Amino acid sequence: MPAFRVPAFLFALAMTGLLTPAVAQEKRVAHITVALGNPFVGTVAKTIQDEGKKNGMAVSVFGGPFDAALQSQQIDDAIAQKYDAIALFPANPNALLPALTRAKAAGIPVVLINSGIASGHDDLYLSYVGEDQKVLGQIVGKMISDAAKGRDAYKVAIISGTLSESTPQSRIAGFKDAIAANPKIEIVAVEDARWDTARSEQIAGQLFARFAARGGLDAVFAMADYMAFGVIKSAKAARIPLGTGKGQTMVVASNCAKMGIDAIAAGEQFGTATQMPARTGRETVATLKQHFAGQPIKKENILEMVAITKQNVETFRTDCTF
Amino acid sequence: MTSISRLIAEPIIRACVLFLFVALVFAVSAVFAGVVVDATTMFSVLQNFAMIGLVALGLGLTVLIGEFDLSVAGMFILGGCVAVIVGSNGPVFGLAVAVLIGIAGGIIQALLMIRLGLNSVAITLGGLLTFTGIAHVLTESKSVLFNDLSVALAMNVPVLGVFSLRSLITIACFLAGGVLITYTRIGRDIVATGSNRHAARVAGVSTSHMLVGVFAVSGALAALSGALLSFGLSAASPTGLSNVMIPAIAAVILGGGSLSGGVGHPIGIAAGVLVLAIVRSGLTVLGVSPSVHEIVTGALLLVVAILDGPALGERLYQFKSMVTLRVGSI
Amino acid sequence: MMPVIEARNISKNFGRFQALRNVSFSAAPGEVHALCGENGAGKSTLVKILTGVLQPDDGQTLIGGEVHGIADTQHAQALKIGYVSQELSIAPHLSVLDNVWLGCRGVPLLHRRNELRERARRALNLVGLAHLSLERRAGTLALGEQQLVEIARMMVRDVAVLFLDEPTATLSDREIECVFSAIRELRRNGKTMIYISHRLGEVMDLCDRVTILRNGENVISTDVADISRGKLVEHMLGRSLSEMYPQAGGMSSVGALEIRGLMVPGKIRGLDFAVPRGKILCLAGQMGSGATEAVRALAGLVHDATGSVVLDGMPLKLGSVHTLLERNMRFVSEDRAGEGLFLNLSVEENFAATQFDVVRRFGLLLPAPVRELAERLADIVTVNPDRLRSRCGDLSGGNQQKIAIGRCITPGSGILLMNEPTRGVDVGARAEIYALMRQLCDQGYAVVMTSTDLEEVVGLADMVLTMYRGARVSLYGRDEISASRILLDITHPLTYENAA
Repeated sequence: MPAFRVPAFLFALAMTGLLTPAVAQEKRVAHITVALGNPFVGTVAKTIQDEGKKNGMAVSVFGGPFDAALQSQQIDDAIAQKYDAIALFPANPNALLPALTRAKAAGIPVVLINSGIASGHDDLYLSYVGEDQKVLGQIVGKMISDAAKGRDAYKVAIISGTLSESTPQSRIAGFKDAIAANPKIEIVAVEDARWDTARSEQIAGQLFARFAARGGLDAVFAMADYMAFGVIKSAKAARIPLGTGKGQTMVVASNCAKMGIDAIAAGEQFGTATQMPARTGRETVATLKQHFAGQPIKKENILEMVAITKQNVETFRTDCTF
Repeated sequence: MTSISRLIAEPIIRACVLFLFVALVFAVSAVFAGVVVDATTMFSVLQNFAMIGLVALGLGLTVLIGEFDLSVAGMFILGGCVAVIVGSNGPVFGLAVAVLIGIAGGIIQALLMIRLGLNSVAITLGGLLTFTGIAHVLTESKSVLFNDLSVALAMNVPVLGVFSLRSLITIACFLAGGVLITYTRIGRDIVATGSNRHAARVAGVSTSHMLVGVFAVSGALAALSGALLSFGLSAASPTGLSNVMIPAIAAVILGGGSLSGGVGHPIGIAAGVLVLAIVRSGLTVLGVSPSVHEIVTGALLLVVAILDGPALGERLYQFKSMVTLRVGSI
Repeated sequence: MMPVIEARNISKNFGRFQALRNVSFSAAPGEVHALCGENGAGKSTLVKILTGVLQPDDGQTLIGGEVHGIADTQHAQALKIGYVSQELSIAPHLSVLDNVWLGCRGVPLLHRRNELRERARRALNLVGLAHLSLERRAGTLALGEQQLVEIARMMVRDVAVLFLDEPTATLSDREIECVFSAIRELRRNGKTMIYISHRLGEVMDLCDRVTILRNGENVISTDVADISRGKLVEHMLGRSLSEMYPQAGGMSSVGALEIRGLMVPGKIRGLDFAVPRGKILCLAGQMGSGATEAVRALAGLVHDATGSVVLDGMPLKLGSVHTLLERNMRFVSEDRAGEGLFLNLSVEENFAATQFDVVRRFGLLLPAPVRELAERLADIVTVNPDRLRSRCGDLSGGNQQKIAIGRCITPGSGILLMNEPTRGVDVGARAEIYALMRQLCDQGYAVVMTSTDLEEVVGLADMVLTMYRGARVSLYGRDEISASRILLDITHPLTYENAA
C-alpha cells in the first residue's frame, strides 16, 4: 500500500520525537488549561512545568481553546491515566462539575488555578490558587473613584475579557462595588473583547469615536495589560490625550504584564493590579508539593493583591515579565 | 496494486482502512511506549466520538446532498442552551424541545434556500450567526448551570465497559443514517440529488423535499448533540462549550465526503470521526503535546486530499517513472 | 384505432411570443411517431405540455380518448407517460440499479429487493444492456449506455407513452443501433413512442408516422411511407431545400497545416496529413477511431500527444494552448456547455472572451470596443445583433454554435479545429454554419473537423481522411468522396495495414 507510506512516516516521526516516558518515582501532574497562546495562560503553564521539574514532578500540559467539553474529556483521560494530581485552569465555572465529581470519586486531587468554579462545590477541589478576581476589580475601581473625586461627571468604559466566563464577571462586580459610593461615575459601556489585543484596539477605537461628541471618555478599564496596550494604541491613533486630568482619558488594567509596566512607567497607562502568572504557577507547584509531602494545605490560597501605579511600578518589574 | 488503488478510490472503504490503520499505529505505539490500552482508553475514544459525531453526521448528510450546513455550529450551541434552560422541567423534555428547534431551524433554512434560489453557504452562515445570537439572548451571554448534577453523571457512566449513554445514542444515529442511505429509497434519492440535481429532478425525484429533509435532520442532530453535551457537562454556554465545527468538517472529509456532493456515507463519516477521536485520545494517552494533535490531524487531511485528487493512479505512475528516471541518470 | 395520447388545438404563449398556435397531435398505440421541426418550431413546448412540465393556455389534452389534464411531471408518471430528455439525467455516483429505479414512485421505502433487481435486469435486457452489471457505477458508463439506462428507467415504470428527445444526439453508430432495436422491441410490446430528432435519416428508418411543426403551427401529419426525405425537409424549412451544402471554393491559398507522426498512447498510432489553406479536411471515424482525439491533440488538449506540427512552414509546439492562440489556431468543441461557451455570460462577453488582445484599450477592458467587436462578429456569423445582451444559454443550439465559431475569427486568417460542428443544431442553422465555414475557407482559413454524420462528411468536406482504431485508412480528394467507401473504411477497413 504505497499510498499509506506518507502517514506512516508522519506517525513514526510523531511517535519517536515526542514521546516522553515518565520516570519512576516522579509524581505525575496533569496541567489542564485553556488557550496556551494567551500570554497569561502560557506563562502559568510554563512556570508550572519548570517549577514542577525542579520539585520532582513530571507535568504534562493539556491545552486547547477555551473549550470546556475538551477540558472535561481531558480530566476524564487524566483520571484514566491515573495521574497523581490535576492542576486545572477552568474554562467554565459550571461545565466541569461532573468531571470534577468523577475526579473526586477516583481520589485524584485537583488544584484550581486563577478561576473558580460555581459556588457550593468546595468539596470538589483541594485548593484554589490565584487572585480574588473580585478584589482585582475593586483595586481598579478604587483608582477610578480616586481620580473622579471632585468631578461633576465621569464616564467609564469597560473592555472586558470573555464575558461568559466567571473571571470577567467577578472583576466587573468588584469594580462596581468600589465605585458605588460615587454616583457621578457612570459605566457607559461594557464591551466583550475576549482577552484579545487586536479586538480591544478595534473596540476602543469605536468607543472613542462614539463618545467624542459627548466630551470623550474619562477612563477605560481594559481587563488585561495586553488589552490596555491595544486601547493606548487606539487612543494615540485617535489623538486622545492620555492622563487623569479633565479632558484626558485614563487607562487602567487589572493584571500586570511587561507592556503594562512599561506603559505605566511611560505615563500612558495609569495603573494595573498584581495578577502575576509566574507567581500563580510557583504557588501552584508549592501547593502540590505540600500535598505530596502530606502537609496541611490552605483551601483558598488567595495571593496578595495591590495596585501598581507609577509610584511602585519598579518593584514589580521582575515579576511582571510575561 | 490496481485492486488496492481501486479500493482506496472508494471513499467508504478508504475511510475504514484509514481508521484501522490509525488504530493500529496507536496500538503499536502504545505497546512501545509501555502505556496500557484498556477499556478506559476505548471509553475515552468513544466519548470523543460522541462529542463530534452527531454534528459531523448532520454536516456530512448536507455535504452528501451537495450543500454545506455551516449553521450546525450555531444550532449545537443553541440546542445546548435551550436544553439546559427548558430542561429544568425534566431533561427529556429539554432534549425534545432542543431537537424540535433544530428541526425547525433546518426546515426554515432549506425553504429559504429553495424559495430564494440561494446557496446553502450563504443561508447557513446567516443561520449560524442567528442561532448563536439567540443563544446569547436566552442566556444573557452567561454560562448557565444545569442544577441536577446526577443527570450529567448518569450520561457519562460507562455502559458495558466502553460505552456511555452519549456514545450509544451517537452510534444509534449513525446506524440509522447508514440504513437510511443504503437501504431506503429516500437514501438513494438523497445521493442522486447530490450527484446530479438536475438529473434527479428529471427522473422524478422531489429534490426540494430531500433538501428540506436533510437540513431538518442536520439541524436536529446538531441540536441533539449540543443538548447531550450540555447535559453531560451540566452546563451550557452561548460561546459554546466546545469548538465542533472544524473537527466535524475534518471528520466528513476524512470519512470520504466530497464537497461537490453525491459522495459520502454515514459509515464512512463514522470512521472519519473515529480517526479524529483516536488521534485526540491516543495522543493524550501517549502524553504527546497537544499542539501535535492539530499537526497530525492536518497531515491526515492532507493525505486524504491527495488520495481523493483526480487521477491518483496516474500521478503515482508519473512519480514512479520520475524516480526511476532520476535513479537511471545517476 | 383510438389514440393513446392526443392534443387538441393547443395554444401557448410566453409573453408576447406565441410558441404554439392551435396545434393538434395524436399518437396511436404501438406507433413510433416522429415530431420534427426546426429549433423554435414549438416541438419542445408541445412535449413539455404533454409531459406535464407546462400547462397549455388553450386547448385540451386527451389520454386514452378522454379529456384529461396533466397537472405536473408526477401526474404524468402516474398516467404512464415517460420522458427521456436530451440532456443526460444520470446520477453518476449511483449504481445502474439505483439509476434505473431513480424517481420511481412505486418503489417501497426499504428497497434492494430481489424483485427490483429482476425487473431492472429485464428492462436493461430490453434496451440491449444485458452485459451491464447492476452494481456498476453509472458515471463510469459510456454516454450511449447512460442514454439506454434512462430508457430502461422508463421501462420499469411500465410507461405506455414514451417521449424521446434526440436520444441519439451523442451516440456512436453501434449505440444508436442498440437504441433503435430497443425502440423496435418496445413497439412490439405495444408501447407508443414520440421521437424527436433532427436526424431525418433516423426518422425515415425508424418511425411510422411523422408530425411536422413550423413556427408553432401544424404543417403536416402523415405516414412516413407517404413522404420523401426531400419533402420532409421542405416542410420543416417552409421552402425548398435549394442547397444544403455550399459550393466548394475553387481557390486555394498559400500555406498549409502539416502533421507528422501524431501519436496519443492508446488512441492514435501515428497519423500524417496536411491541409492546405482554403480547404476543409474531415477526419471520419467511429467512436474510438481516434478522430476526435486527433483534433483535440492539435488543439493542445491531450497532454501525452506527440508528433510534429508545421504551420505555413514554421514548426508549432504541440500541447501548448498559448502558442496555438498566437498562431491563430482555434478549437470549437462538440461539448459547448462543458468546454465551449460561457452559458451564464452574455453573447457579447462570449464573443470577446477569447479576444482580449483585440478589445483591450490602454490595458483596460472597456465596453465600447467589446460591443464593436461583438457586433462585427455577430454580423459575420449572422447572429441577430439584438441578442448581444442576452444570456448565451438562452439561445438555440444553432446560434450558440455560430457564436462559438464567431469568437474563433481572428484578424489574420487562421486554422479552425472542430469536432462535430453541427451537433444539436437544427437543419436551418446547419446550412448557415456550413456556409460560414466555407466563407472562412475562402478567406484563407483551413478547417480540420470530425463528424459522425456521414451526409455532412460527404456534403461538406474537400478532403476526407478515414480512420479506424487509431490509424489512417485512406485519404480521399473531393472527387473521390463517396458515402459507401467512407462507411466501408470506418466500419470494416480492408486495407488499413498498408494504407499509410
